[in-house]
Amino acid sequence: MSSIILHISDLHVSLDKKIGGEINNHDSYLSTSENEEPSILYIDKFISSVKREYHSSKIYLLITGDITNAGEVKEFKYAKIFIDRIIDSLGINLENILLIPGDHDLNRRAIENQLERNETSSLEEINISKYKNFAKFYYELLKKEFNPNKIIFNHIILEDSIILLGLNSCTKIDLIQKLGNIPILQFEQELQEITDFKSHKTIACVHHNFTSSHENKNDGQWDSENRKSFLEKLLSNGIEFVFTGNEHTNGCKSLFLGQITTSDSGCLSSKSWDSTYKIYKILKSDDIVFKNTIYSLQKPYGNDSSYEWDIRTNKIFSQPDEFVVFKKNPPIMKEDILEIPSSNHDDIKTVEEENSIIHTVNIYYSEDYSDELYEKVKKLNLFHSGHFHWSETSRAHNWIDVSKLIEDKKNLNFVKNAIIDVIENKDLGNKIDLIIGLGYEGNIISTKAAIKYNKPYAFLPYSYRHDEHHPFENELNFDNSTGNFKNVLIITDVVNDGRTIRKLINKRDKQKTFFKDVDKIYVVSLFYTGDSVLNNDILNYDFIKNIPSYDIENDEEVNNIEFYTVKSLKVEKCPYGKDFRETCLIVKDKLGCVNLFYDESKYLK
Amino acid sequence: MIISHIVTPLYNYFNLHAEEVISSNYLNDDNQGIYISSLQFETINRLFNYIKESDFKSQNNIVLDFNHIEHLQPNILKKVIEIRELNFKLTFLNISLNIIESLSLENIVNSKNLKNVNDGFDIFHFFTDSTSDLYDVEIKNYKIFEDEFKKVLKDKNYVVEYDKPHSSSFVYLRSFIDLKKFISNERPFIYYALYRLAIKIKSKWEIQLKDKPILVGQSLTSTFIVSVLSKLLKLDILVFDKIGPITKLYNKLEKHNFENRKYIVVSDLVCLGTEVKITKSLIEFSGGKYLGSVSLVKVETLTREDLKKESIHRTISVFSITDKNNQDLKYFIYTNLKPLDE
Repeated sequence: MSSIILHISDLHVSLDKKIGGEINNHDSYLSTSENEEPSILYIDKFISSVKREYHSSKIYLLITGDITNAGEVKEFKYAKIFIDRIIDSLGINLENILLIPGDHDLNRRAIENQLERNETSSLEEINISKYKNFAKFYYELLKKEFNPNKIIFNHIILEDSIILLGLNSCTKIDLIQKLGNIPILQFEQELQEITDFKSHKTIACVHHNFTSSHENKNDGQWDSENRKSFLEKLLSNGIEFVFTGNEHTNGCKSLFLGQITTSDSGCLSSKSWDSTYKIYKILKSDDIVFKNTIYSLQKPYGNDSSYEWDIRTNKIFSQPDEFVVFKKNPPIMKEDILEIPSSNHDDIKTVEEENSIIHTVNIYYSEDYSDELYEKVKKLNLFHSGHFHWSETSRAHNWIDVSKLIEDKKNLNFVKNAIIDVIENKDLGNKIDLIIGLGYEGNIISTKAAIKYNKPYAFLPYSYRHDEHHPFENELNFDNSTGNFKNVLIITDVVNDGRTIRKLINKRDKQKTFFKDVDKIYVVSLFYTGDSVLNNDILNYDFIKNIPSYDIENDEEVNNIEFYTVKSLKVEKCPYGKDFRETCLIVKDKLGCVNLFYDESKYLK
Repeated sequence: MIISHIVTPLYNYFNLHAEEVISSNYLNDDNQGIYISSLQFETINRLFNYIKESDFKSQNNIVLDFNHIEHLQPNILKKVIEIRELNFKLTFLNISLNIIESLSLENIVNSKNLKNVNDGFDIFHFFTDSTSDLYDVEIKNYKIFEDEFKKVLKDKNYVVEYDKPHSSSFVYLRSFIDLKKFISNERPFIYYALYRLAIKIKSKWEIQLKDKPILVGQSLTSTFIVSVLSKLLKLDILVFDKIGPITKLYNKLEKHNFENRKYIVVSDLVCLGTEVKITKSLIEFSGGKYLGSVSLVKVETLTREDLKKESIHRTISVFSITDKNNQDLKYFIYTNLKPLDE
């Protein structure tokens, strides 16, 4: 029987209603809604994905904190239902579970109440109060007492050779201090109490991340001064491997020339961010090796299934396939980096940080807009099949009829608000110096943003239709010779591979001059219809050029685009080449609707 | 953002209803369009902050236009007085009977303040001075707007001469009006212009608007106008993509059900009306009813006597090029035929 560590984190089981009854707009698939079905469905999909390959494996369950969002009793009540279901379905022995508290599992109102009762409360008293709900949940779930004032509050032993050490990095957290911290003297003292410590390979498990994959800072979410001592103490005690949570990014980093390696499972249940978990298959011989497998939530938003879990390719996400936990000969890391042990390094990026930034998933998602927009597509039958041409080279077998969507004033207002929600969600409002509405529909859906943010506004036709417009309609009408427009927002209805956007930026002389001094081009669309997995860099030339069989010859080198879309909805491209009039039967034999959005006569000549 | 500020030699003008529409529709999202008739405290407070931070203090007359305002939120008067205390003399336009009491106008004794037939005031000086430069001038909001529009068109060269006279409509056009550039560059004044266009549409078709006519855009520039008007008038839209220089229609008409529905054609500029007539024919051919056309700017090639107000061919616009201003604006249309007096 194989053995695995199932690493999940940051479930953030959230109240569906705030205290007082107001709807709580949370980001978790797991909530306290009386209608448990959506949460249970999510848990069951997760269980199925684990069972798919590991139904007969021995499972060690590691949860690195933030089980709830606010440490409320009701959140823990539902968290227990969900985790019990995982434990039962996967047949996990309670002794094989290490459950770590995160900063979201402590109850801040309890701290306030404690301080109101006694302004001079000790840290120990505050810890007892803030963890009251968690401790009750912990006991009911695992049948173990949780001591809120211990640093090493629990540990489990794997395969008679590995210790997973449960550390509480929140004992110093009160209403002011919010960063991770491990009091070093207490840690050392408690470590000596672990009887098997010296004979086993020890791995620390802690909620807070002490290095970052997402944020551009070295300290992660850790108290800077304490971090140096903690790292030193890990090294001196031979603890070279740390499992973390908190950052909502399935990162993996090496410190001190690879002497310490960290692995974060990512957030299990975020609606708008990347949802992931990890499975480390334990491979034991003379060495101890963990096979590192990342599972990520794919969101096809299909009729029958909105999301599915699937394995992520480690290489693309800069993760090793294996973690060598113990080796007779010291492990050699492929990408060693130098640790810079100081606090503020916002501008300093290591090679690995550069890589992890590139591969960090940053997309827009909103239940209110992404899902609702898709509902409208279905309800209004806006997704068509046939043969659609936007130019000789831009052809597809599907088309989303945005013009029909926006005919209705309510839908038009909805999509205008969707664009504004993307701008708000991605905090673009204060960054942008100019808004461009691209195409007829792009112009129509941009007006509210242009007025609300009171930014200079221009609108342009698609570049392939410039010759169909009066010359003055093709003008951008803004001059950037003084470099005032550093950040430009382009709003359009549909983006496919982004070639039109890159051509707009780079091809035409006047606009090329304008965009020469633009630092960042934000592109916001209602729909993304391309093939790539959604991320904010997928319209850049450096990303596109790696797509197999992409016609890069007719493209433009633009790499400063940051892209967000309300809804990803793939369309099938016409697979035929320039001879499509003879080879594509839909066109040749009129097998379906053939619709042109350009004047083909000028090409046929 | 304050959209209606117009500087004249004697006063600074602000349209409070236009500002309220911006507060309501764009800064908040209560979607009342131009139908909102209550002035909110937020709006007057925004205006107060704008005036306080502006540098036109040497010019001490402010004209506040209350047209279309029928109700004032509490504390508005207090804020109006705070504006006055910034050392401005205030004159109000278009005060309806309903808001006289809220503004405590009965306390101001000025013989120049005369009630109109509706017991409101067309103009009300919120001061008691025996003399003022404003007593001798006509202050009408449409005139203030038109003068400003013309000034901007002329001073900022939006009337652009063609390299050679344009001949696509079987007449020669010496120049064109670059309204796309105007829309991009004259922000936020353009939003005030579109507000005024919405008000004009409401005034012209008050009854027909209850049938929810559809706003039709047929060029890239007009889609911008259609999009804003849709929000202000709470109307659906339709885009004909496109009837412009190449008169090629891409969107298939059969997708849209025209039967028994009414349409208002929206343009940026109506010159000879060719594109409007094409659109009108398409709508009528498809079973729809053409209600009329609107534009930001129109060229009045006929006199108002020859093209009566009730004519369906008469376009509603916020600015007209007429025989009174076309020479000043250097806008000319002519043909190859000899003039009558040659």
